Order: sequence, then C-alpha cells, then structure tokens
Amino acid sequence: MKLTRQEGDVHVTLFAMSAYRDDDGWKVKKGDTILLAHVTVSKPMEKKLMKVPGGRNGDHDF
Amino acid sequence: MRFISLAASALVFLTPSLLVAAPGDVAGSKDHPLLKRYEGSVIVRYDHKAYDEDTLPLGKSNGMKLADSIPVEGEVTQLAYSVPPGRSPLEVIRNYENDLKAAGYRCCSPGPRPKAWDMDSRRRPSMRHRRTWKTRSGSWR
Repeated sequence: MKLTRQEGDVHVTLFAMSAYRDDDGWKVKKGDTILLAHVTVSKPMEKKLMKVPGGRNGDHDF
Repeated sequence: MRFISLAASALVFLTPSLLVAAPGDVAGSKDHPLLKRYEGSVIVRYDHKAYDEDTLPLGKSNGMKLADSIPVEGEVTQLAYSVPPGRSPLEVIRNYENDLKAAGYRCCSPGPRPKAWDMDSRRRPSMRHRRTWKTRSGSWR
C-alpha cells in the first residue's frame, strides 16, 4: 500500500494485547490488557542550530 | 476534508484543560489530544519527541518483521495504557476503531490478526490485534 504524505498528516498505530506475565516495570500483571498507541503528526523539523560567535556559520562573518 | 480539519482544530483548543495526568499515570505523562483514553485505564509508559521517526506498519507481521511498512517523521508520542481488568483487547481495539472511523480516519492496514510473537520476541506480550490508522487530511494545529 502506498501513502501520500503531507504536513499535518496524523498517523495512529494501535496495538492491543494481553500481558503474558507480570511486569513490575510496566506495573502490569499477567492477563492485563495493554494498549500501545503511537501517534505521529507529520511536520517539518524546527531549525535549532544557533550561530556561534567566531565559529563556522556558513557566511564566514568572523 | 475541511470538516475533519476543523474538527481536529476544535479538539485541540477545547481539550488542553482536560489533558492532565490521571491518578496512577506515570510521572510526566499526559493523553494525546487526538486520542481518547479508554475509561479507567492508566498510562504506564509515555514518551514524546518533538521530531522523530516512527515505523508505520501497513501489512501483516511475521514475528518481528513487518511485511510492509513506511517510516514517518514528525512529532511522535508513544503511550502505553493499562486497561481495567475484564476488558479484552478486542473490546478495546473495537472502541478505538469505531471512534477513529467516526473522526474521519481511514484504516491503512486491513486489520490482520497476527499470531503471537515468535521466539525472538518472547519478552513481549503476545500481540492480539493491530490496526493502523491515518487521517484523510488533518492539520491539528
């Protein structure tokens, strides 16, 4: 299956399952129903690189 | 298309006050504004990245390998809920299935019921049901 992707798309993946053993880390017991949900909102990455005084900033303003 | 976008936007504006951790939730966690919480469930795992990659499964799984998948990038939120006793995985997934359909999502995966994870994944709970959803349009901001 092919998907066209664009900014603002929301992808939700759900997994529902029964725990097969106790797990203290997850605080679940054997037989408990667990729902895993992944929600991804497509969006452009924020530019967070900062100019460094005297550094290599591309425009060679030092 | 437009209706879905407007509905999603309204949801974001109306729900921030409701997006608080419930008693029993893991510290620092909160619900995602686009995903409702099953009644009585608590968050046992939470992870949020402003920008990351996630794998969107599009087909059946063979053990830990997916027959078809695509990577998606963006704001990624991963939640794990522990559902109250007496609620089966099927009941939970049907609740979400109906709700997401009503909200305008479409299903990418036909809804296979993969077998339990193979030996390579013994440490994980057996998978009962899986669904993948995607909106038709859907800016949520």
